[in-house]
Amino acid sequence: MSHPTNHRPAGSNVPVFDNTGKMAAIIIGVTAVVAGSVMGAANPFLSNATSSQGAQIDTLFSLFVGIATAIFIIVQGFLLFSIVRFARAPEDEEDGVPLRGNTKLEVFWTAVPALIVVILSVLSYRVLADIERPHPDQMVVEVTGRQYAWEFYYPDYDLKTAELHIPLGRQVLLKITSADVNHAFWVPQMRIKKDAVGGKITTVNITATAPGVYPIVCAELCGAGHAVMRSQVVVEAEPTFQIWVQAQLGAKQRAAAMPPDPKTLGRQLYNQYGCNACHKLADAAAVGVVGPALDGIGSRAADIVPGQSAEEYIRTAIIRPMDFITPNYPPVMPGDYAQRMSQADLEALVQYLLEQK
Amino acid sequence: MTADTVVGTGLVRHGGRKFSDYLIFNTDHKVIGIQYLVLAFVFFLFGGALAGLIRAQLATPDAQLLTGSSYNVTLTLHGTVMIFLWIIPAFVGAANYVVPLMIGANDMAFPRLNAVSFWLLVPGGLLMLVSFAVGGAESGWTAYPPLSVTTPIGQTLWALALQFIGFSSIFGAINFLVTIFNLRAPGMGLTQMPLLAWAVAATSIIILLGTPVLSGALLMLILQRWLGAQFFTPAGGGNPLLWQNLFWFYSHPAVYIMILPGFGIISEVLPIFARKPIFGYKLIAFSSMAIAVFGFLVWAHHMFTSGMDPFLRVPFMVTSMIIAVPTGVKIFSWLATIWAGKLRFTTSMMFGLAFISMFVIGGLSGIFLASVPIDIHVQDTYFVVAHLHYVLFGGSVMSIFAGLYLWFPKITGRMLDERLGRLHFWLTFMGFNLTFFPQHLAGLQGMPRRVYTYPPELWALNLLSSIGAFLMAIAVLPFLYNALRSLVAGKVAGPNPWRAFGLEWTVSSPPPVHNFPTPPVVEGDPYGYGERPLPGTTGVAAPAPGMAGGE
Repeated sequence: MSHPTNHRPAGSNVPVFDNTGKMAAIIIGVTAVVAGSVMGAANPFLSNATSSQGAQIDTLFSLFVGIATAIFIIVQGFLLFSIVRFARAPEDEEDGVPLRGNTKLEVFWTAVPALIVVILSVLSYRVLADIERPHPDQMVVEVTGRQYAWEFYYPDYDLKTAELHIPLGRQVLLKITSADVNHAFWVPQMRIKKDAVGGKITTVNITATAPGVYPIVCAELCGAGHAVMRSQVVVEAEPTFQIWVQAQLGAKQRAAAMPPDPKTLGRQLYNQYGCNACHKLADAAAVGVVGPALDGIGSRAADIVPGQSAEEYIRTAIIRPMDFITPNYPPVMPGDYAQRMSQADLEALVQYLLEQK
Repeated sequence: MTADTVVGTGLVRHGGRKFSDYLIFNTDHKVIGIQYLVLAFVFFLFGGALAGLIRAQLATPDAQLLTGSSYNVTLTLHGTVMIFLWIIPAFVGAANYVVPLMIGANDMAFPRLNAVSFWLLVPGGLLMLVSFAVGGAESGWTAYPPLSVTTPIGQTLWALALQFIGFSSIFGAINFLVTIFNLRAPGMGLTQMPLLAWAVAATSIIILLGTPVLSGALLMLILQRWLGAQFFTPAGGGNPLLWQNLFWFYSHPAVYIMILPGFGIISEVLPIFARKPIFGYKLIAFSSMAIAVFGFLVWAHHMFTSGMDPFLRVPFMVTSMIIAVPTGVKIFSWLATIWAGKLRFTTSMMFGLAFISMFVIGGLSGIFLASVPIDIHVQDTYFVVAHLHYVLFGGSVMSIFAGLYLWFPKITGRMLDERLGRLHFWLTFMGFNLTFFPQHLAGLQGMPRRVYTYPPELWALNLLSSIGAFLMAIAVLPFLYNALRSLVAGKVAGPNPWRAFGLEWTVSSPPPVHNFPTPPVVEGDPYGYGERPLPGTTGVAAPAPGMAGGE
């Protein structure tokens, strides 16, 4: 062969695991254990959950962070060491040491990871069983997702709201469903997530551990307004929660006894039916961007579709949204408002929008 | 007629010597391999452009570039194109080109079926583009009903396009299995096969068992959209979770369709540039098969928050954890392969080493996702987006590039420029990590996936991601320039520029039309570094200076 030696001559004996290699293995191993412990204990990624379930998830997460850090350092450590140590010298055309395997080593690195994942599974199962255990004193709230709003119903009080209020420290059982496509109810600060699926009721427990206001986020792609399908959960001490419930009930009774002025009613309907999720309207504090803004719609509506008066246009746009799509906006408005809204609500909303000049 | 003559002149030919040979129904596996690779790369550029749009929209919390449906269409097409028209066909193309050569076969077992597979992919890709032109699918690559039955016509074309692509895949899998198990050169037992052949066999088994389930589910979706069937909508007695079960029964194994060939490529690249035999051949081959089996037992981990049977989450958690073991075995075996080697940092090797480094991050985040309680928090967030990109880009795409840099000289007869290669590598590596590492944190802090707007406190992380994506886009330019320039002006490679074992390196570059003018001689597995001399290397010059990168 013209090539000097492209394979190692038989009998050559270079130590595969010399002192430098042993030293590196020890340093990598110690670093992995130390860094894994530190990262697991500190867990800079996920902490301060505001529910008892979330706190348990965070603790489990810390353990995973610790183990993942250790494995990360072992793999990257050996990789980097090999890259530095075993780089070929420019003129070296020889081959490396022909090692084809080592049964003990292979059994070791099959068995140890297997053991680790079994332990992680058992610990995960224990946390799962714990966070899903029902408390006898549960309060039930029924949650309905729809494009693109959340609706909460308190069966104990026959009360329906657009934001979730729950008492501090009491376990709340959420019974979640969807009125249309799939959604997912997620409170990031509480680490709680569950899908909302039509024709099905899914459940999840929350026990809030810190008062405050936390965003509710839709985590399952549900259409054009998915990104803006948000609400919030308000956690307050039990007495404050009871005051809120009574205030809501009082408002509901007053509304039943004496209809509010048209403007207040309009604002309420605008938000109740989820118009706010997609259509910006300053008067109703709505900031949606999926559909056209409706500020000043009362002055413009008559000029949009030839032959339609302002009132006809607005009514048609609500109950048959596909008849006319504002240029540059997606044709995604739900077409079922004629079924979902009472005639009175529809007319009240049309009148309210007509007044937006 | 010699072994190097193109057969046929019309629209049906065998062999590629002229440009027009590559544009028609050609039954030569090498031509088909190139057809797949070029088409897939075009879709990679397209899918990358879509990713650029997504990152431009997300560079600031309230940008107005792409909102609502147009954003959803973009992310749907990005995911679908990258998975079904880039990663999967790129692997099919690479395997098509090299596997018959590696096992000493003159072609695939069914050359015409092979061409049919490719020509099913073309209408599939075109239909996908047409779906975009008429408004597009907008329910994500996962297409969960009921959303996917209420969206406009683009969704139907999307499903039809996937039917074409699915059948292309199934035919290809049959072809690979028959080729690998029946056309090996005399003397090549199963344990003398290159590990890429094992990986492609395992992949083909998954495709054969899994893809028909996707085809069935897509047909149900099409029937529901066209004929008002009610498989997936509760109002008509259907169940939205039925789709999720069928879809993930295919699509989780599909994750392994997208990574096993990458494992195979890495198992070829490392021995060549470490000048050592692969460590633990049998365990690596066995773990590919173990993944092919276990891959079918983990699908419901995508549904932990869906309201599936609460108890069943537990066995699926355990299987999802256990499947990490065969993957871990491979990583440790690769580390042992480079240990005490004589490492040569060619671009191919750098992508190969980066694969190990990045894939392990994706593997570790996968363990988090397998744990039901942790998954409750991170499911459907940017943590998942980060995880899947560490696996599919840090893993699959890195391995595709490792393979392209390795086999480009074989395929074209010319060397790629190593300096441009290193530029491509470092820009990709840095851009990739800058793009995707911060996404873990964004997800943990409350950013769901598939949103065009987010709270301002997540701005910094998203801006980093967008800057990284910009770097990744730039990174493609040196590669494109390098590939095109090297085609005409690269150094002549010769049959075996890397001094590698493996039958593909015993024939000329590019190989003769009918591969092996004389039957190949199999001396053992293709990992004999340090054990036996390279066959037929008499007279082969020292490596060309241009290829000795990294020093």
